[in-house]
Amino acid sequence: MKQLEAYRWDAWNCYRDSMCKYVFTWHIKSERFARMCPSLIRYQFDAFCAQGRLDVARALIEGELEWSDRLLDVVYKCQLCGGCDYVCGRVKEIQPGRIIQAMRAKLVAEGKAPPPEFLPLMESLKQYQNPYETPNANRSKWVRDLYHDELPGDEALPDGGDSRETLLYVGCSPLRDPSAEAMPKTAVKILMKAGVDVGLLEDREKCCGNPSLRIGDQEEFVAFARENIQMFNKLGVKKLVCTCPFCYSTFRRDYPLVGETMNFEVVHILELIGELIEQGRLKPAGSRELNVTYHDPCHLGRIRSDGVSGTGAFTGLYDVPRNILTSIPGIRFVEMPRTRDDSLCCGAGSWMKAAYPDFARSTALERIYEARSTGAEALVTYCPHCEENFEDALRTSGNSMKVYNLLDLFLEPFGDDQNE
Amino acid sequence: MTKMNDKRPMIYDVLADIVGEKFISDDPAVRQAYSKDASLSSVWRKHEKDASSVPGWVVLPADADQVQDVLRACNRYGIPVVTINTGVNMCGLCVPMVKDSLVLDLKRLDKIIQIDEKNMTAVVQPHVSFARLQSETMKRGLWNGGTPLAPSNVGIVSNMMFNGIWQSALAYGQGMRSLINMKVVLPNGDIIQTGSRAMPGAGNFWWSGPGPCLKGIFEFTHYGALGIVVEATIKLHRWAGGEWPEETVYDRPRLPENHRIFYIEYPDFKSAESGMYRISHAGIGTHLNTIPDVFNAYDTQSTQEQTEKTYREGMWPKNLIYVVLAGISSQRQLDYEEKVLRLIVEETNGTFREDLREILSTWHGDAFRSGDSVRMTRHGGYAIQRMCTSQIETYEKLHDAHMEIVKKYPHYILDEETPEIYVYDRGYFTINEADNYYDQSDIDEVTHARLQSKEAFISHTREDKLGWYIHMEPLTTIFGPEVGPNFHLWLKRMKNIFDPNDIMNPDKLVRM
Repeated sequence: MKQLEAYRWDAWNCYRDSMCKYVFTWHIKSERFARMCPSLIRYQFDAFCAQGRLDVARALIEGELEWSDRLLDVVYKCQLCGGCDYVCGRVKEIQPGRIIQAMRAKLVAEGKAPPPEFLPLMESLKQYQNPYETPNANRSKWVRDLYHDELPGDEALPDGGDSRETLLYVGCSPLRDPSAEAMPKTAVKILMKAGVDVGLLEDREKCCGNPSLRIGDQEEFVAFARENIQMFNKLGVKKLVCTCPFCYSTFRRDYPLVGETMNFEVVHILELIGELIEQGRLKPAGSRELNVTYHDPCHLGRIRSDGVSGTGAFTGLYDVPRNILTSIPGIRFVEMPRTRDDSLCCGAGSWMKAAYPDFARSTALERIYEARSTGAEALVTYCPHCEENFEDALRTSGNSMKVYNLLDLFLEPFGDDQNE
Repeated sequence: MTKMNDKRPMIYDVLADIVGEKFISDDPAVRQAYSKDASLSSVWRKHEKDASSVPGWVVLPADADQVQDVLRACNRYGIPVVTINTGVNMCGLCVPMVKDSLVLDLKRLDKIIQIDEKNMTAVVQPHVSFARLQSETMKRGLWNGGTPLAPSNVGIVSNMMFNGIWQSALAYGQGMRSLINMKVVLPNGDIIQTGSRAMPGAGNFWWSGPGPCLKGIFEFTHYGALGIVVEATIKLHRWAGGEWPEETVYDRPRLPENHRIFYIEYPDFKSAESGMYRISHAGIGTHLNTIPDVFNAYDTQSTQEQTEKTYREGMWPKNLIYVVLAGISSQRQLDYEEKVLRLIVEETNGTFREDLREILSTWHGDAFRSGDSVRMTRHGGYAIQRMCTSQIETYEKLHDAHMEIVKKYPHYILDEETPEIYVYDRGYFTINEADNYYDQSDIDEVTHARLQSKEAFISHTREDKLGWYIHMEPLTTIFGPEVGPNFHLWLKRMKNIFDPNDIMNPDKLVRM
């Protein structure tokens, strides 16, 4: 993995064109929703956008800047949402997110970071191999609950993965709180409904390493990545199906940098479900009259792969979730002004909720305001971190907007709203 | 005698009282982000480790009142002030020259105050960009008339004040002329309103007001040294393009409705000149420009590697011009203009390159709302070697002079043999530009680019008198008695009146 010094050319050659601050110019649909960098929206000084952070990176590389608490703010109060990676990658082949990550790695390696707010999470990764201070054995809990409480007894559950070439990797979020268990449960139910045979690792699953990477502990990330790759290879996994976009993006975009051979392809469950719908093997469970908009999780979108540089294509998983959503009868879909590659982050990226919850919340509220401006009653997304952040922001804001998980809506259009 | 360092905590408190604690910073990490812009001079100063480029404080005022209060405080304590708007500046204007300067970031003055559809004007604060204003006006069938060949995220007011060099100047003239009037905070904290704004209740609609028009003082080359524009009225025009088209295929934007674009190749520069002259005088079209082959290579290719490859393969014709026609009144207008264009092109030996329409389609977006054109910075820095305003008949001489420089200082990667030419005001004059591309991290390339720019400037404007060079600083160190003959002295007198303590962008307009 590249060290900060390897980005010297990039740091010097930022043209300071301010493209990183806004939605790509051809795509700006309204003055109010033109800004794209959550960090700059909140903190306003140029140091809190990619352009300024590259100045800081240049100064660090050239030895012109000393360490300070405020420097940590500049380097860490950023969701690494990839907005600047999209625009700067498009026009200049620079990916500022990688450089910000390298600054964090340098500060961690020198013992000056992470900021104390991240320490419990980092400790948890070391002790429990997940960021939620919960024993790994609990990873089996939602599977047991699903088997005992929700599925008919004669349905076979996926097993431990040894005999399966397709592995469902659910990530750590089910360990967070009971509500987060719904996401993998729904995923399994839908796959079973379509007759798709997948394996589960249950308590053998461990973190993908995303928190270590984003917070700057490169060494630990590499260790997670190597262990996971070796385990998947040993199990004979051919297709790794992810539910959590954080994990998905980490496997796809970051694992190849570690240098281990990956004998498996990485797909997201929405891709799989999109194919099943196309093949006629799945259809929505019912209809629901609802005005909705869709929030693109950054990790399913512009940072699911290494940006647009040189690809000549939009890179995110954008059409599939929209197709799934609009396949539900009664759904009236409307886009937000900032969408797809120009989407505004929900605020939870790069583990901001753990360290800077106010920042995560204010970004979520900005996004909810945008969703509301479309006339939508509900905000649909598919990411446990986006969902949690939106839900938490809504709970404390009094806003009546509802948040739905895309596959929950697909599987049970009325879900918890049965009594409405 | 109290030294500045002793006063720093007190100054911080005074400024924090004005803008609020959240909107001031004296932290080194925050200040570092205001110490370099896209100019060769600021890159050079970074290599020289010139610490004066890092400001002492950065403040973000919320409104004109706070701008006034900050400037009054700076006068009181003798603090130099540098104003930054979107900060896309190629002349080092937004980077301090003097140690312990204060950078005044106008980011919070970002509101579109009014769009007057009936009278076709917009009132904006300085941080509103071309793209943001366009996103609102185009919905209403209006636009500001163009975009610079810079990212259209630049502030529209500051870009227009600095001439307003854009691609649709054939129809809409210099951007500067679309700036109707403005509200300016002077260095001493007073406010001047220009044009009809100066008459209470008269409205914002007109350039002139009581007495001489003061607008010109703050336009173009005052270099942020005479005041800070906090609000301006901008002329709008009819927009024929309907809803701004979605870019559904990456890098292949669609042309807005009711517009036609034509790429025309000429066998040599002289016949291109003749064709442009005829087209510009025929009263048709909105855009008429040469596009250097280098620009085409950069603008349309997603990577530096592809850019260099297609350039070296000769994929981009030299002596290529493009014309945009806009059907502002009707389709019949478009048909008529196309007929006239085809006749002129035939008579001037041009060839329509229909085959390039798809390949060059990034111009469908960039001609109206520039975005991917910033790719010309992909090699690293981008230095304007020459930017001249000149009369149309000097094309050829300029081109010859330009090629002499190119031969003497070959660019490292791509030689730009066709200068970029924007035709203004139906052919009244042109702005032509030639650039080079250099690696900002490489001191040798920076040095090379500086030498080349300096020689081009001397050659074109001082010796050959081929035009007016618009990107230099400070003016009076370059233009002495040979201009005016006493222009530089008048500049000093004017600066003294507006800014007696020389706090506003010192050393940029005039060395006092």
